[in-house]
Amino acid sequence: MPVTTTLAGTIVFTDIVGFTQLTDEHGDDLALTLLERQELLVRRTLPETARVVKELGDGLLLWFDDANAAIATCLDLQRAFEDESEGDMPMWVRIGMHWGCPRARGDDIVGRDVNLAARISELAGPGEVLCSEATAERAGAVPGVEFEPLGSVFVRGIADAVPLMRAISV
Amino acid sequence: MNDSLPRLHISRRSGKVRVVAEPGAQVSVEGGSLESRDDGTLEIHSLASSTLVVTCPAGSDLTISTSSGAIEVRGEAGSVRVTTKSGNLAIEHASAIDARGASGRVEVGTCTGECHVVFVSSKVHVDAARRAVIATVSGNIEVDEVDEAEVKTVSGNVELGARGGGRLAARTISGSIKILVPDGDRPTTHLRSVSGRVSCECDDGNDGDITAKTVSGRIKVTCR
Repeated sequence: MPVTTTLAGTIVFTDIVGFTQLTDEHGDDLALTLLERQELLVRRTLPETARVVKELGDGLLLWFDDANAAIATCLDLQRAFEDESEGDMPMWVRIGMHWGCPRARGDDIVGRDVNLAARISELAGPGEVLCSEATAERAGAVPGVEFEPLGSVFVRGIADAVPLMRAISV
Repeated sequence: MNDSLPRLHISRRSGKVRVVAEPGAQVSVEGGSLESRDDGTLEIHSLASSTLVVTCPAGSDLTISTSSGAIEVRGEAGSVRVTTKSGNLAIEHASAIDARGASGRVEVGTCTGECHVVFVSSKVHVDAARRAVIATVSGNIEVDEVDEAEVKTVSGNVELGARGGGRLAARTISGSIKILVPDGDRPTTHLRSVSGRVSCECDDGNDGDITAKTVSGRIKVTCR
């Protein structure tokens, strides 16, 4: 058995909505432009206690030590993406997150909690930030943010459905 | 939310869920178990393979979680929240809706409040809503009658029927946008297609605000 480290923090997935269709219909140049815009905005917005774990085709896997910072930063990111969308080509990104204890594998993170964060991001609409209830509880009060319960989400390998919230700037 | 009416949390990983909200009905469950929580919520689970049938009073708030299987809500529900992965969703009447999933047709009758739907590839059809907030990647979006709307889709087509006077915003990448306004209305319009055709039958005025933007789709604003 390899020696691994268990971390505790917030796992975030970002995903450009409809990236495959965009690439099919508008070509690889546009795809590259969107990816570069996403990465630039993310790197510009991330606090020191967060990092880009890896690129995932049309999205990013991010790690935040602090759940409160994860929520606040991701809402800031959505505002930045919205500003970018004022032009002719929209920058629609969905964001999902979960606070958990994944295993570190080099710079990567793996495990059930990573899978859950990915599943949560799949349910987000363009411009939305969704999180598990566990993330909202860890985050506590985030200035200017409210959490709206959305029901629960089933994930393969987890018996009970996991409560889901939407983070909203107020 | 009406505190005198039950709040039902229904979850089953797979299989059909049918909820019937009827005036004066008591909560009853066929094909599942019912458990009352301290906060007053009624938790309904099902591991059986048969259809889960839940009857409840009209106006009940529903939270339904599944991974796969059709979901049907008949009668007049309160707020309805749904998360699923695949399977058709049909809601006859609700005061508010938040529904999320990947695939399967979404059919909504009347939503008297905000109808928020986020699906990937589903066709979404709403008969009537006060406000519609709908996003798909490839599924078509049709709302027959709406006061306010904010819809986004990558390649789906959009068709919105304005009741008139409200704010409608539709944006696509390649899908076409068609907006029907009441005959004689003169809305303020902001229409932009980078490479598609744009047409508007209405005179400019102050009867509501219509924004439609697309990269390569067509835009048509027409009277009905």
